Amino acid sequence: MTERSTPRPTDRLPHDPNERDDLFDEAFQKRLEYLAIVSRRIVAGRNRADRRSKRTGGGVEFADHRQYSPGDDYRFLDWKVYGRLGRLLLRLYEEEEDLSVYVLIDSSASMGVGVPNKLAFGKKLAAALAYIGLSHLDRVSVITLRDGLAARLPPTRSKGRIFRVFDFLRDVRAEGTTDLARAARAFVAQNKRRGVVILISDLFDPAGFETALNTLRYAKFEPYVIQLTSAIDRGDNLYGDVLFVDSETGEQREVTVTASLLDQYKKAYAALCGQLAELCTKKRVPLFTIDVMDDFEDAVLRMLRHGGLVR
Amino acid sequence: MELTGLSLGQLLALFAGTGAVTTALYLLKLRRRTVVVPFVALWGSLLANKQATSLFSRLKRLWSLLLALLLIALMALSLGDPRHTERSGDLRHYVLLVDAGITMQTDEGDGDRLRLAIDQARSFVDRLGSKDRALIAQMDRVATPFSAMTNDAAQLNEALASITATDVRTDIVAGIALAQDVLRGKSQPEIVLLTDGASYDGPPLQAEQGIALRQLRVGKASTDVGISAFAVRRFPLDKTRSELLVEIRNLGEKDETLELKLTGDSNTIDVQRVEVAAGQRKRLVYDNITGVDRALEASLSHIDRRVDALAANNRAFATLPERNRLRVLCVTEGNRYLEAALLLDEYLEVDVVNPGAFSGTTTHDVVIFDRNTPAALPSVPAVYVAGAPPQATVGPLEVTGTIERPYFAKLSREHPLLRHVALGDVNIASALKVTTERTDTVVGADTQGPLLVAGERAGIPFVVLTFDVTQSDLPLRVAWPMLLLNALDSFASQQVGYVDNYRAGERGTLALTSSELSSSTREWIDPNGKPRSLAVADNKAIVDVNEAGLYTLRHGDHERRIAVNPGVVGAISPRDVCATVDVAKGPPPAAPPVREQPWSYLLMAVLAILAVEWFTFHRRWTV
Repeated sequence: MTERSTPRPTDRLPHDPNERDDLFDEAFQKRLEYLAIVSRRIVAGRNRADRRSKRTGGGVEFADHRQYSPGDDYRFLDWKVYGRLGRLLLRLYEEEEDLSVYVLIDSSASMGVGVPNKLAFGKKLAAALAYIGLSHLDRVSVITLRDGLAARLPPTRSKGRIFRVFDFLRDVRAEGTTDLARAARAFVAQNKRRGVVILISDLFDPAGFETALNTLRYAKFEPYVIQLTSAIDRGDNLYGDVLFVDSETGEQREVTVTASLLDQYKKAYAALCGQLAELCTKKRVPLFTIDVMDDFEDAVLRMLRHGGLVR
Repeated sequence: MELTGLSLGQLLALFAGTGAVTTALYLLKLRRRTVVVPFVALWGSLLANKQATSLFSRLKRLWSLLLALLLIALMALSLGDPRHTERSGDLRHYVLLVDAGITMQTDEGDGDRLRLAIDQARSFVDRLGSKDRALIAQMDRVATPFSAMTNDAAQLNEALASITATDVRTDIVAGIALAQDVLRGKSQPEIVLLTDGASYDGPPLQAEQGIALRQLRVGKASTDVGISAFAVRRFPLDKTRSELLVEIRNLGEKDETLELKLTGDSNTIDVQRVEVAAGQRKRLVYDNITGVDRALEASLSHIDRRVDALAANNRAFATLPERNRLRVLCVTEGNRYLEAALLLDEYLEVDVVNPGAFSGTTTHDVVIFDRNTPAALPSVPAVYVAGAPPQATVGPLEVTGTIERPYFAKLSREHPLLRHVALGDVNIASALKVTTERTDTVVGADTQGPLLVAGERAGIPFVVLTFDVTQSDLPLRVAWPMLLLNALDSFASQQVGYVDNYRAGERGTLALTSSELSSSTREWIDPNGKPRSLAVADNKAIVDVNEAGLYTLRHGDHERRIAVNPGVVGAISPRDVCATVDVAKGPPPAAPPVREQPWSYLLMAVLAILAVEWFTFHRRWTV
């Protein structure tokens, strides 16, 4: 009986969010390859590396018929149908195009709170999704958010470019405040090519998250929301006389955490999460809530199976 | 409430110290733990009523500190071992007198009487209530308290465990006297006698007014044989031989056939069968004991190997007087009577010197001046025999005249010099009239003056015969050598009569030799080989022991054996000594068996508070 000698990725998350520990070592890369293979199996039977647009065009796969109109290219007339029915119908084919995948990762200071911290988990998650996208020959771009767009990795293709993604993510640090709406507006303004937007964040924004999601949706992007949580977000292990310091604003509050207060906090946090889930359901935005203590591979595969991130 | 542990001052100091430390630690604890949270705004809506500065929070902190100080106070107070102060009228006071005399060693089949008495006493102690106090005392020839007046069962049981059997006759009256002294002025006093009462044969005893007296009688056995007397003496003129007296007493109701075994210096001398009728005292005299030089032991056993109920008086001990070789110097111009008399004792080394050759100093033990007086008194004991007048002094006595044809008109017959000596009809031609000092003892005297004087000068003893023995018929009598030998024996502290053996529980004195007195290594060893203290007064040791056997007085390489025999046993049948007697175990009236030792309750309270605090804290009720 052999045991897995390689530590699980979540076991090796650094405690310091800004520590330049090598999150993307060889073991991690092997796991990405495994995830990429599994993602293909999940979408088995479909063409690889393509995404069908809703537009009909010069593709090779038949999509539908429509009535001929003057000016149409009569090379696409279906003469067999004309012979049987006497009607001029035009064959329509699905037009193939590259899928643009935008991985937006929240790099505000709140992502660096807790042990293990959410930013490290988010980086690995972003790297995994990027690799899966690249392995499907999609155009992948990684962008960090704070109170705007912080840094950007230009769209890139092919698996071999994953190392650029790694290098980009290694330099991401948790700092600054969060303004998701402003960041979404900036993103929409800068990226005209529509595609999938994967937002990785704890969604702790004093202004809320609804505006940001709506901005993405109105700009015809397909948003996916991955909410990262940790024990301290839920108020676990908090008791007694403490001085709370906000990680982003530095605001301080002296609190005596009692059982009843802690219970109220947990309810408030659950309500916040409930609002997010309700909004996503209402707007048909896939939502994944992942705890940083969850198994990394399980979390990724769960998203792949249920989220339709690839097809 | 009174404190029996640490004093109030010590408790306050302890509380102040630990309280200060606790308060300091508590103030340090008030420094809040800093926790970085990702989104403090989420707490914002919840904190309106939960601020640390809220009244409830401050009160809770104060309560927490007060609780900690309360715990410290309780623990400190428990170290003080507080007890309830006695309230007169509520408490019952008992003195338990446990008889440890010789008759309590009587075997009752399931242990001796002392063991049964102690068991009864333990049962009594176990039944003491919270309002009861008791004192345990051992009662033998005196009563000795072994505990304080307390209701601490551990202390009382420890006192009971300290009680040991003695070989003395119990003095119950003395025990009751002590108990009365203890109980006088106490509320509800009662004396409890745990005794067989065998040593008391008087009318029923009563305690003084207001003090109850009760006997918890122990014992049933009633038959006993024992040695009631055992003594030995050397023959005066042949000290290699001794005469021995053994008296056996049968206290039972039937005749007994016994085996008497005599041991001398660890060698068996004689074993013989003795028949003693019921209630009889039987005396046996061994008139020719030889080969024994130090100690004799007699032991008695039933011929059928039956175990005697009271074995303590089946053994007796005796020691023979020391036979020291005495060096005697005769300062004489020649006196056959004197020299012949001194030849009778083989333990005398006699030297003769002419008065003119006597230098005044000598290394001999005794000097006899025959019809002469030295210019200066010697530094050793001396016998002075007067010569013919005129003489200015006879030894230390001044001569004031002469007495013609004196005779011994007055004799101190109890004086050691006159042991076995008869001087009443001695004919004397003349004697010197001397002046004695007040401390001198006139052993024999004519109506006109002393004839035989004993005394001391500067601590050195002397004997003076104020007449010339050659001018009397004294040398022709047995009394002459006896008188001389008695004088020499008195100088050497030698005994020629029955040696006074000591009895356990009876105080006696033991004459010490000069070397024993001056020795710094003098030891008094009991029969079990344990060294004991020995009091000395007036150059005599005080022999006051409770255990029979052969004791040893040792100094340097020299040692002397002293025999101590058991106390006299008059009867061993249990007797009622007072009006109120419980034959069975008689516990005191029932009382709640609650011990008043609040320190344990204080610690239990501390543990309870800590348990509640721990329980509520870990359930975040009191965070």
